[in-house]
Amino acid sequence: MSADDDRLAAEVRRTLRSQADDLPVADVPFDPAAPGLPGLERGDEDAPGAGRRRWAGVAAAAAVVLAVGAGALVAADDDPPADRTGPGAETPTTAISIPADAADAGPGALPTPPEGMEAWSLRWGTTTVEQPPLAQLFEGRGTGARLLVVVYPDAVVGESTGLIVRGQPAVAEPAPDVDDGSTVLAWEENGARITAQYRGVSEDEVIAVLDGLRWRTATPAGGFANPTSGLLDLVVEAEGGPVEIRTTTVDYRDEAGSVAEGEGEQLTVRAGVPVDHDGATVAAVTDRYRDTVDDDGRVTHVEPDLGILRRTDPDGSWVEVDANGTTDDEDALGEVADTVTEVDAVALLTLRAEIEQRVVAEVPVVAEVPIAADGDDPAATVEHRADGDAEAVCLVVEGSPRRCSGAGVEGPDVEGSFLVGERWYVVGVGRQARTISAEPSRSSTRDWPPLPGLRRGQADGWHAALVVVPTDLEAVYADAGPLQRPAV
Amino acid sequence: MEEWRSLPGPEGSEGPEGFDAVYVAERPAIVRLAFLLVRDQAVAEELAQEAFLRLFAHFATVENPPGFLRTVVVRLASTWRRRRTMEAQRLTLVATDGHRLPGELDETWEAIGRLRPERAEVLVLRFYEDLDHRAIGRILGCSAGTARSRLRRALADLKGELT
Repeated sequence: MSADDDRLAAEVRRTLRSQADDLPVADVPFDPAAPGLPGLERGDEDAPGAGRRRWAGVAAAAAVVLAVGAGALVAADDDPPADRTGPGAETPTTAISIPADAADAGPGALPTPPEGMEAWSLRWGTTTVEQPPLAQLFEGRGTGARLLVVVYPDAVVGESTGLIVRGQPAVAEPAPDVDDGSTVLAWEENGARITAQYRGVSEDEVIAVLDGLRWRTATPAGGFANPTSGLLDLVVEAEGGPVEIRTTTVDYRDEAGSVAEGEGEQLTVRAGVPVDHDGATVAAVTDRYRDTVDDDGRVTHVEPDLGILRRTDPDGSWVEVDANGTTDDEDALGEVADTVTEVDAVALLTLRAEIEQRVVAEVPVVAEVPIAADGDDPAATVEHRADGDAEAVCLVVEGSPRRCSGAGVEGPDVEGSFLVGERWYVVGVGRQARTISAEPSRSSTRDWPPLPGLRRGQADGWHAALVVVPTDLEAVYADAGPLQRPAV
Repeated sequence: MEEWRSLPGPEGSEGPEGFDAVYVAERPAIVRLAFLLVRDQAVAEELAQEAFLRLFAHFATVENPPGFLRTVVVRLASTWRRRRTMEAQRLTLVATDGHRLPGELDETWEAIGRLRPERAEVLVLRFYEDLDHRAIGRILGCSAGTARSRLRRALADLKGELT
């Protein structure tokens, strides 16, 4: 390193140590039942020793081998695995009835996984995304220049860096989270915060373009009219506001390896489809700013270091293929993304049943916790299953078939959410007493008020909590975060 | 320069009390390391808790708890950052609040914060944790050569940010 580099290294060292030393860290006793970071999907990060492997190609067809009957879907269990172990081994077949309104549970979107990979976890549902009121993308003709204007309802911008844009003091900063030299200008206008992210054009040029733009309506939410300067043209725009996105997430692991993190090949595929939404979404417009667009208007973004490929269609539907760092083969990731198609509720339920069957067959029971009956709520057994780092929880309600969560690396706590008959059961199992609550909490002390009717049990050092969620609740909170009432 | 994997485990770490000793000894350092990676104390504490939960679950088989904790927290931070970034992109948070005047805070700290996360990460591992290229590569899942070139690139970018 040069003397300059040495000085810089010393400065970095001083800075980092100073920042770390200035951080007050309180003494907090360890609580093994306290949650980690909500929303962090356990198992997403690699464990020490994880490596990358080249994948096999996408399988010719999905290997769904379940019997579908008239109105009911049953995970066939004619050949129980020889290595099935644990006290719950003899519990009958996983079975799922498909109600008449099953369509309410779908559709979703599923890929055809690479050959040799099998699904271990599936989640789907809808989420409402709050978008800013408007996004407009301007592009230069053949110049590569881009300008993304986003209108936000709030007017908090910060102190000006001396620039004036459209007659207003403005802030200019490097654009966050991108490495393409983009800059963001921000200013207030008519009670709104406007940001203009640009690249491939100079600051003077973009300010001249912005100064020349005219609002279509009295408020910024109506957007700018197409500029007449000729430097940049309006190519796509999206009205914002809340948009409902139907999401599907499925985790795959290779057949030969275990489900433990960092072992073998891993793949998480997330798909989102806007519901009842016309035109582009703000997210689709934003993605188009960041990445190249193909002839079909599709935008692909790849992060090779992370093994992630995301593809966004013009209508705002998207697919994200995340190899958890186990491959950086862009073609392989793209191949998986290409196979994602919309599926109906039956396909989702079929895959879920296949996963439950796999958990029962391949993840042994390590503890069975009995839960006593309480009034109308029948007795039940909570099974904690584990195989190395992979854990799952199964629930056997007296008189009903077993239901199981997907298997993942969950740490000491595992949770499940199941609709059994008309009742929504939420179950948690771990080394400490568990709580399931109607109230969210990020407190490490977890002094949540439990839901009424919460039943607890204990066996072999394992604690289980089980509750039939009152019908007026659509969501409850457990250690891993909120759980929504399942449709089926 | 130390490599975590060659560090001896804390005294008594083989017994149930050993975990508590590791927790007390290592928690401040793990929280601080997480903070340098995510720049948010609340998130840093949550990540540290998550790392200790994982150590707790596997304590009997972990040979080097300090190294395990650091490896896990670096990867948790990376996961958290990429999730947040992807989510932000999906939610179109093109520019967030937090515009500050230059010089308001430590200039170098601010400049490190403007680097690509994987480059800031390698600076933290090299200059805060004092790890060599081989150890950094092991944590990040890349070769020592890649770690070295990432570090070079990070310093070059930082130089650009500071000039």
